[in-house]
Amino acid sequence: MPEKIYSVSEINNEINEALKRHSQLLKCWVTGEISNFKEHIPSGHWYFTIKDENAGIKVVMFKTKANIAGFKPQNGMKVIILGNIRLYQKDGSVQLYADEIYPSGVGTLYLAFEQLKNKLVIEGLFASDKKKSIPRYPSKVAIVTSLSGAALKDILNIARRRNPKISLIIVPSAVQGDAAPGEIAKAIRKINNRSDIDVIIVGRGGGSLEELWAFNTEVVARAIAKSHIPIISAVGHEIDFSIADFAADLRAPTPSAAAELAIPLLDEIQACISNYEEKLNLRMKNLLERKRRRVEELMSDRALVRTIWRLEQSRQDLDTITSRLQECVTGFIADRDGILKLLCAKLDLLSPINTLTRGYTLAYKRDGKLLVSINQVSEGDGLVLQLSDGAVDCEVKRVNER
Amino acid sequence: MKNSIAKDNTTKKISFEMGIERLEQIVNDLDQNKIPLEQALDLFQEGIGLVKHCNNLLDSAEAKVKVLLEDTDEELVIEKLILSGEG
Repeated sequence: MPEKIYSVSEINNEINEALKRHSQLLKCWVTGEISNFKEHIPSGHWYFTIKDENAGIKVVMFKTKANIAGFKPQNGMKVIILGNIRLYQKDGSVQLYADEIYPSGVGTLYLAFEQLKNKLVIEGLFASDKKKSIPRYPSKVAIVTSLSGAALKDILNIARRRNPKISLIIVPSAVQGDAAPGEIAKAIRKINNRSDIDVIIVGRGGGSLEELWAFNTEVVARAIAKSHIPIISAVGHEIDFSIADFAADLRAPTPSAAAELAIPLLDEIQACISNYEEKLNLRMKNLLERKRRRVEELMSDRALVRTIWRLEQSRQDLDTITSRLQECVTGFIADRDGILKLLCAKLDLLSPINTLTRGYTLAYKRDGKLLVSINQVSEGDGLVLQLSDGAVDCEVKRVNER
Repeated sequence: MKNSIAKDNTTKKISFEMGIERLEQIVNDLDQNKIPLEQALDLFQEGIGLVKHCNNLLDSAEAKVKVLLEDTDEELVIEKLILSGEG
């Protein structure tokens, strides 16, 4: 008869207790190759197996841990996992509950880089339509970098040389080490709270991939993308791109280059202004000349000339008409004169005065009535005889009827 | 006279960049044939004012190098930065 018969629950409990007693199982590093990787939806937990040539163990990584993994595991990938070994009582399987996971071997950082980059590309964080243009004439430039770095020295030197009229605000930040990503992001946010900064340079001098790592972190990329002030990234090497470079509005290959891109030459600015002054004067002069020429053109314009000519012609026409009118009037008058003379002659012929010259006499009574019959007079009446050259007063002596 | 004073006041608020942009526009406008003479003269006057303004902005710019202190908004003016280089 056995000493004790366990129920399944009891024996699983025993196993669990036994596992807990082995402290090396509570926090252990395990390496192996991933297979059967599954991301459970919607929980977001990861389930997979890691194995070597002879053995395998189930791994569970809960969402909260998976989120900070920095990369996404794939089947066949060699990884190192930090976690604890516990029993899953429901099916009695011993599993590795992962807290941290790292791709093993070379290219760990590279892999994390690629994965973060792809993630942010898909998210649209690097989209070209989100890029702000770098102001051509900044008056204040902020620099996020280490106070002790060569990058700052380079930037300050170039800035002073190019344009001593532009103010520089240095916002100190660690650029390597664990604190760097947070400090860089914070510095960018701090500058964005101000309203006087035209452009930001974020960067550091060259270094190893590990030293430059802060510029490949999500927190820095997001802070750069979120900035409403244009940002020029200037991270170390000429050739290698950082995530910060992709997120920035403009990428400079080195801190010196960033200073050259951000800070316009004072000489060029001054030349630009005098160029505008010259242009203004020239354009105004040209404009006045054009207007003057237009007036001259108009003066010799056919339409206008035609009008003037027409005016002159009209004037001539008027003269012609006037003289014709004069002629007519003169003619008319002359004609009428002739007729008048003729009529006068005719009248003359008919005039009794004329008849009188031929020896006739007109006899009037004293009251002025012309005498045409003997019945009009009596003896003793006074008469006036009208002759051609005068009149004679007479008295009727006798009336003889014929 | 009142007009020009008002103009001066508005000019003072114009940033260098805005000034240059406006100058570019004025120069282009002056290149147009159809622009009335009176308007052209106004634009020219404005342009000359902007040139003066931009020159003033440059002349009066008092550039400083400052370090923004951590966890405050205070600025530390650096007259002469002595930097030891590394990294």
